[in-house]
Amino acid sequence: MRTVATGIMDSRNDERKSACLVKQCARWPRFAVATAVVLTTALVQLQPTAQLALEFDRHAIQTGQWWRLLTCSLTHWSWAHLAGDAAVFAALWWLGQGRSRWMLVTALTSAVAVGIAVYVGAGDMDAYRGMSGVNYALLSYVLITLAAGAQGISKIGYLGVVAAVAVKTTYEIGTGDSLFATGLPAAIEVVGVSHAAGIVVGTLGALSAWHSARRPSKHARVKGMGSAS
Amino acid sequence: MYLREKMSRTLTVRVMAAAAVVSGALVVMTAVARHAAGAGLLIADGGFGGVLEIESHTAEVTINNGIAVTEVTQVFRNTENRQVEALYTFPVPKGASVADFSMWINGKEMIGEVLERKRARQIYNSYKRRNQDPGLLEQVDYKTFEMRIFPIAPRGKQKVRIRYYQELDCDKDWVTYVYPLSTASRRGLVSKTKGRFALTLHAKSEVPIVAMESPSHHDDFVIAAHDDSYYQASLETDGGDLNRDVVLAYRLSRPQTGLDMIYSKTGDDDGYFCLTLTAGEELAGESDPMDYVFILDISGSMAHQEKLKISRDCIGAFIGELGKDDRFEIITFNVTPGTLFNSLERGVSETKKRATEFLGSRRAAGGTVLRPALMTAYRYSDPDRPLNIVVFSDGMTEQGNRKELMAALRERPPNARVFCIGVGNEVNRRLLSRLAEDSGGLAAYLSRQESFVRKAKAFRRKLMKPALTNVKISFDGGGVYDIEPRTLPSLYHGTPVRLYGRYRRPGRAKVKIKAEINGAEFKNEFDVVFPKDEGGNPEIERMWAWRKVQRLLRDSDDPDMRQEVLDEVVRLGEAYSIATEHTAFIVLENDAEYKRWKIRRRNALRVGRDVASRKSLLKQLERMRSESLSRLGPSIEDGGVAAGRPVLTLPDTGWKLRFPRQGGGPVGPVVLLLVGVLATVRVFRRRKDRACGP
Repeated sequence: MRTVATGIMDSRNDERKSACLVKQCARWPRFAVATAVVLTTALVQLQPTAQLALEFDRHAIQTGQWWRLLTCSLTHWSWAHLAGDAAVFAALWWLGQGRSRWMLVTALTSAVAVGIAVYVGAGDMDAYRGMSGVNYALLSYVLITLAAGAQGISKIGYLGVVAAVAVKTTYEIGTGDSLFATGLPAAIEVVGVSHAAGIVVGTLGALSAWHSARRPSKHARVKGMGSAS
Repeated sequence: MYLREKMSRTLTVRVMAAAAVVSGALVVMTAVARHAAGAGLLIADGGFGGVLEIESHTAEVTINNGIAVTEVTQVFRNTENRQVEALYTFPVPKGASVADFSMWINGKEMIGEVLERKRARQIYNSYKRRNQDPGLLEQVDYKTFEMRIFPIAPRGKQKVRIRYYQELDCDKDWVTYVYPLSTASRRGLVSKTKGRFALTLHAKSEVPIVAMESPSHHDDFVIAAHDDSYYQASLETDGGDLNRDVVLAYRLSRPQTGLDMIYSKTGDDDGYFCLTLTAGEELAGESDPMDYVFILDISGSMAHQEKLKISRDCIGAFIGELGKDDRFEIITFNVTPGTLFNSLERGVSETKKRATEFLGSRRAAGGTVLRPALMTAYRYSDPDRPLNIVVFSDGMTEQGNRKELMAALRERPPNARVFCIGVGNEVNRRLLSRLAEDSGGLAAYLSRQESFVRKAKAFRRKLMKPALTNVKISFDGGGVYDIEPRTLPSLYHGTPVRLYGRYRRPGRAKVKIKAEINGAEFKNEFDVVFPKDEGGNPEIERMWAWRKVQRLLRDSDDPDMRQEVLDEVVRLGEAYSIATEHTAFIVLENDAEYKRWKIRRRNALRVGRDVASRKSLLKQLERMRSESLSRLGPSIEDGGVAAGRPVLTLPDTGWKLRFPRQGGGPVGPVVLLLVGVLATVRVFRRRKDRACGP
């Protein structure tokens, strides 16, 4: 009997250790992704040729350069533009590290969605650069996920902020202008549809992550099998 | 045989050496000759020799509220392989106050500070000895400034900037701006910029502008009428000629009339104001016939820069405007005066023709003694008619003669007024202005490139229209003090009188004007509001100080007051960063050097304010230009594409050419703040996530 009890105790300790290990190992890819993205945008900014090859260019996309729908989020109009986007991306990635798999999917999906939204929704936009659509997606993801795990006034607060961001984006789409100073160079317009696409994708990503988290985990199934033997 | 060969070899070597020396000398001489021909107004001084070139020379002029701010940027290049000191001499426009001198040292603009002149020179020389980078800007006489920069590195460049303020000449509805360049420095010198010469002028006016032209450069200027309140003129050449003044004149839709006030006040300091008074309908009375005596200076100095020719032509134009009932005489002078008619003759065609022939026969020679000519002119006075004595001179008379001249002025008949017209840039403006002002007359200055016909007409118009004399302006309220000028000149139709002053108390006040017009009393009152805060016109502070300095310098002729006056001139020069005959600009390498010499960075602060105000004005002009551009092309009603995007349809293909749209998604400050807050909250909760293991 003691042996069985010891075996059970050992397996529980093993579970905790493996869970910790999973967590620790899982941290590295999360930070690696954020670091890689920030470094890549900086490298692209240093290379005007790369900027031109990766930015959203309507005419180029029409001739078959579809990758620009995804890669336009890695390009920026100025170092100030890049700094703001990179800082927010890194901070949001760090905030969402407990849910990095879904965050990664959300970020990738939003990058493509932003490109498609600009292509379809801003019909006359010839060129687009910026990571803010992805950032809006991550922001929505983080806020809705936090709201899902919160109670009472905190839940309302998180959802309220999402709503406020959505209202701000609606204003941008309606007026073509930003509520606040953007730091963009003079000839560059604010494209509200990219933020809207980000909010939608981020919301969907958060809901998917929440739904996935509600299903029972395989560690629990293993535990049940161990105690039967 | 061996000896012959040896001698032959030696001879060959000697001949070759001699040939080399001669060739080298020829090359050097040619090089020097070429460089000497290119020296221009800029010379390498101080015994280092060497040659400098003006690589580029750009001027940006902004005219607002009748005050022109001119910013001149130049790049000098050293064409030699050794370091040199640059000495650059340049003329200053009439009434200009040099308010800023900067140099670029190690790529950074260092703004100069004003010090007492001797001290500035001592500091400059001490830096030269230590081979460090100083710059010095001094007023050498009433018309000329001199800039010294040391060192300019071998084959190196040096960039400098000067800024000055001036009130513009306004004749009824014409406003004239002159950028003086021509100066008689040395014969045979070529005064050209090797690279770019550019001048851009922005003229903004409350009274609508109807036309702008350049009498000096005609079609070289591109003139853009953005708005009826804003005109822009631009001139750009490669290898510009720096020996010809640039003159621009613009015409207003109506002569400005009435009273205008602008203010400057920051913080708790007392405020400054500039009052501009222009005569209007009050003075549009009948013009009575008058007597004129034209005094023409034909001394040797008038031979330079065609001063005599221009003066003769101007008198001719003036005489052409005289009516049949006007009377005139011409007196020429150098060391003694000579008359044409020996009496006053009517302005009929016969006498006008004789006058033109007489003027054409005069040649410039001899010294300048004006007093006898003036005393002779007084003898033509008729108590029943006003006598206008119009002097055409460069005022280049000796100091001793000047005192006699001022004494002679006091002896003039009561109905006589003295008017002075100075021609060219080599003119003793202070003397001529004083002669005119002290006698209730006017002084005017003609550039060689100006339209003297228009000037002559405008001048005559002033003389014809009755003037407000004995003008007195007082203030009820506002705590007004330190008004400059203390004695107001007569007010002539179409020519404004400007008054500067200070005020202690913001709020409502009354301006009271009292004067005489043809002996009858004239009175008027205006309500004004002195503001508590006004940052838009910092230039009037310097103009006030400059006016005060000019008055003090005139008073410094009195030996009893001299030292006290000079101390005050230095104090004002340092406080308001004005270069005068007793103060100079010094530029040092960096802020630490200013601290070492205990030099306060007053000018750096003042320039900061001036630049901010100017940027705000330039932004306003930029908006006006954009609005003007937006009116180009077809409007929406004409079938153009969406508003805000210019479209040009080419008739052959129907292909629409449009400007590309570029978009970006900024996160903005709000999202940044939000993420920051979330991250902070997360940091506090992180302790729970870190706990791992049993």
